[in-house]
Amino acid sequence: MIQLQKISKHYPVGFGKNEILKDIDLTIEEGEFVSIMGPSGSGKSTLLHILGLLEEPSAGAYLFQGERVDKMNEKKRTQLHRGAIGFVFQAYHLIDELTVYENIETPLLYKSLSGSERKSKVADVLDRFNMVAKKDLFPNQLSGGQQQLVGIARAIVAEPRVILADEPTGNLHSDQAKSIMELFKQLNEQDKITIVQVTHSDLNATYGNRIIQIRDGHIQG
Amino acid sequence: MLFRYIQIAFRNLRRQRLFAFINIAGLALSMTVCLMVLKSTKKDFSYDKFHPAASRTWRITSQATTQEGKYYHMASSPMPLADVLRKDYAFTEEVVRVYGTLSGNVIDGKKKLPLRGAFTEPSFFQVFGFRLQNGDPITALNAPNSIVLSEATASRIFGNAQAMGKVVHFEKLGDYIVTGILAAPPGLSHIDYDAYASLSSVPALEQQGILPARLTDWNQVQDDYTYVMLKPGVSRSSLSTALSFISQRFYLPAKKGIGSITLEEQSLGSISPSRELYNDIGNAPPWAKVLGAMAVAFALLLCACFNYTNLSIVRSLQRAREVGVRKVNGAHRWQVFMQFITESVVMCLLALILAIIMLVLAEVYTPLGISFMFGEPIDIGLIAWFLVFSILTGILAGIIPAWALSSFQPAKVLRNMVDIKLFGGLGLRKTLIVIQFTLSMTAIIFFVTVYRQFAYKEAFNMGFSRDNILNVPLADADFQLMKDRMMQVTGVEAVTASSGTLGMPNQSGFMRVKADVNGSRMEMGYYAGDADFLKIMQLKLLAGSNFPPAVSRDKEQYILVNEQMVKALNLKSPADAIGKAIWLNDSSMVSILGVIKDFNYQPIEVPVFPMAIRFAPNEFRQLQVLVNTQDKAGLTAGIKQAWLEMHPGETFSTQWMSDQLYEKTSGKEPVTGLALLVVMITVIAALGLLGVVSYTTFTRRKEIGVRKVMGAGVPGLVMLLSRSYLRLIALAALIALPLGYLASQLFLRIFANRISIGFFTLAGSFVALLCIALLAIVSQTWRAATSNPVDVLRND
Repeated sequence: MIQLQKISKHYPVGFGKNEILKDIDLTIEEGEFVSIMGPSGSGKSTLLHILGLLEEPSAGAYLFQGERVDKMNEKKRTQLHRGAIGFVFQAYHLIDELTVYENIETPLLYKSLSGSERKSKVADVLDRFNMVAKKDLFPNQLSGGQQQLVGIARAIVAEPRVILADEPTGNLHSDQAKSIMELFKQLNEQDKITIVQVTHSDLNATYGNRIIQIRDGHIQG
Repeated sequence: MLFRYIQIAFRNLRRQRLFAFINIAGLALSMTVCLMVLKSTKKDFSYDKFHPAASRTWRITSQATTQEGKYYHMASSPMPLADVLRKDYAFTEEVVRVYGTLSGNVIDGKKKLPLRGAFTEPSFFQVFGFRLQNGDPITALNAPNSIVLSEATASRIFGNAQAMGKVVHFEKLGDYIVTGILAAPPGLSHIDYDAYASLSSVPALEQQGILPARLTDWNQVQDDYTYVMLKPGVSRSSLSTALSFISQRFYLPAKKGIGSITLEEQSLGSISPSRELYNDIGNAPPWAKVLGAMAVAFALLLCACFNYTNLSIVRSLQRAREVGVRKVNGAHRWQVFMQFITESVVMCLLALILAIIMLVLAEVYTPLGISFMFGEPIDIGLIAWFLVFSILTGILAGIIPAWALSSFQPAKVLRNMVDIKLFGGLGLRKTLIVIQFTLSMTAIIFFVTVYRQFAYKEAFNMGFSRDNILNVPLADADFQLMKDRMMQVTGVEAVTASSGTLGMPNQSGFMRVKADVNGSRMEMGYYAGDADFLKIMQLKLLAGSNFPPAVSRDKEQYILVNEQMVKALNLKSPADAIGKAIWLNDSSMVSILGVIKDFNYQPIEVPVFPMAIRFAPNEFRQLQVLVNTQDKAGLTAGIKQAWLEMHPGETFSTQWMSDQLYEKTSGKEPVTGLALLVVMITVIAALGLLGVVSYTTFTRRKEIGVRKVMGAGVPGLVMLLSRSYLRLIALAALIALPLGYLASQLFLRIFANRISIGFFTLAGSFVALLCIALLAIVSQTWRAATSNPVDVLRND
């Protein structure tokens, strides 16, 4: 499903350049639950951003469902975001001015679905996550765990093929983290959604079925 | 989708109260002015729209160059032109002349009603599409001495009685039978006379010498307006070819004493707003005024839009994350762009509501007398214009911030907020602030100059007395009889007869005089006054004597002149002038009896020119009554009674000389209007600055916290935070000082007697603006500098 071939990423710094990723080769099959681990500054987040088409690699080829996407223009990339990729962030990144309901609805708004279709999809997700009672609250009225739950709900509402999660439990305490990880596992097993998460925690990594270690821009082992 | 955008716009407005307030207040203020201008502009452009064949109708104008080389472009044309166009050119469908000399008083019993009318032809109704509510348009203007009245004029002359078939007596122009009453026209037209009489009445009037001979004279171009309606399909060039042919036929070679005349067509649609032709008719304002009002309104609006642009860009740091999230969730750039445009349009629509409320309040409660405030009443069409206008404003204000915000890359804004570069860097924002303050400062300097000049004008000693003098119209009574009667009223000290009020615009007469029979002519201003004129006006006699009490009323013998006249006659001292003879209007010879000290007989815009006081009873228009009493009401009642005895059945009206002068010359209108604009533009600029400083200071709160922990003091921090803005204000001042100085100089050139702008006007304006700016800056930076650093550093 995801194939990276000789992917590199560097930023210009002064007169030289700062190499973040070097010659990454990586294949992720449909239905996998992959954890990317490594110390801070090792390039995990950059790798995740490249997987999510938020950043372009400096060199190498990226095939998503068999299609070259590394040189795609912004329009096509946006198209992929709408259909195939969902994001979950460490800082949740909910829109403060929108209610829980509206936050979850956001991806559907950009998919030109009819009002009733949007309604039923959002209702399904709210139901599944037991958040119907909270649908009219604003993010700042929720706990961190609840906010991340909304973040995940928003990521799956458009029924993506893959979820990319950047330290999804980094701001949560352990009880909340556990339930979020269980939710991911459930999504992976029941809904067959491919999940790629970046994490620091060994415990979280055990929920997945593969661990990729990154150090100084290289995949270890 | 749109609904969601609007919803989020409202939530953002509620959360960001300062931002919303600054923007809506500024936009509403400037939009109020814009709406006023829009209203009056709509009126200005609504002239001449109902004329049936406007696209085929042309007015013939004349460009005349006199022998001395003076050039006039006149809206009028010679009278015989119409017949030539009618007979010799088959492409004309109708030709109509509008000969505007039917003006004068209409006699109704003892009453005299002034009337402004024109002579015209039956084709008038076909060409211009005016309708009659009574009478037959085909015959109404056929017979000599028939007249068509406007509805208002008919009721003015005949009251509620039926006017058709009645006779209108003109004081000089004879009697006319009413053959029609005009229906109210469906719109505005530049042709707007009180009455139209048949042109066939004119030959008789010319024969009797009542009107000057114009009907067959190609060289008199200044009185008659000729309109041509071409047959359908005839091009403009056929008409202009014909006109240049006619010009050559009748005006070449240039005849002696005339100079040259060229005829030219002007389309009916381009008459209003007027192009300031020499003797144009109609009430449409000139282009310069229309464009000037638009420019002022647009500048104000632009300032308010700058606020929105600036604040939105500064605030974009707070919205960046939202943009990132939306893009990650599949939003195209244009969708994000549209969202922010929608927000600014919503903001403008809110401002529009406020502006309409202010507009209505302004019109109901404060008739400020700013002339562009008066336009059409607000109707659906105008509301539609307002809506379109405010949506355009929203797009104008929102386009740069929307572009900047929608350009954010999600990977960058979601990872690290600190790195984000604001659109256009500091350059754009600084430029906008500098433009705002430059405009504001220029306006302040200009306003201070105007205010000081008018204050100076009011305090200026014009050299004559104006207090306790009541002006009473003479209204054709014998001045001596009325004077004697007025003297009997208790409280009246002295009475003089005069031709007008000293110091009022356009009340002085002018005439040609010569120092001897064969001498060269020169122009002299004059007022007519009797023997008491000098005493009551407190004019000082330098040499010679006043008019003697018994002087011939029929033959003018003596004249009093001012010092300028003595100079103009090349005499050394006032005493030399006594007894000198001068010729008035080539005919009568009078001798100089006395010389008076120069005084400003015209408003102080004009320098003192040579002038004279003539004893000319046929020019007396009013009595000026000097009173000496506290009981002014009782005195006015006494004068009224005396006046009514001599004018039974007429309406008495009177005014104190000082009031009359104040009303006409105080300049209260422009000063109030200008003050309002200056306040608006300054408030908008100050609010914008306040907002920008507030947000940028907010983004630097961490830096401030760190500096405080390192031991920085409050004054140092305030200085640090304020310095860059003060530099901008200084830059604005540097641009605005010469601009304001130039604008003020241009204004002052209107006045012959004027103030000098001076250092203190400039410095004072700068200090005033600096204080306002400081208030806006320091109020924000002080708050940031005194905040507890722990609060900021802990949260991070």
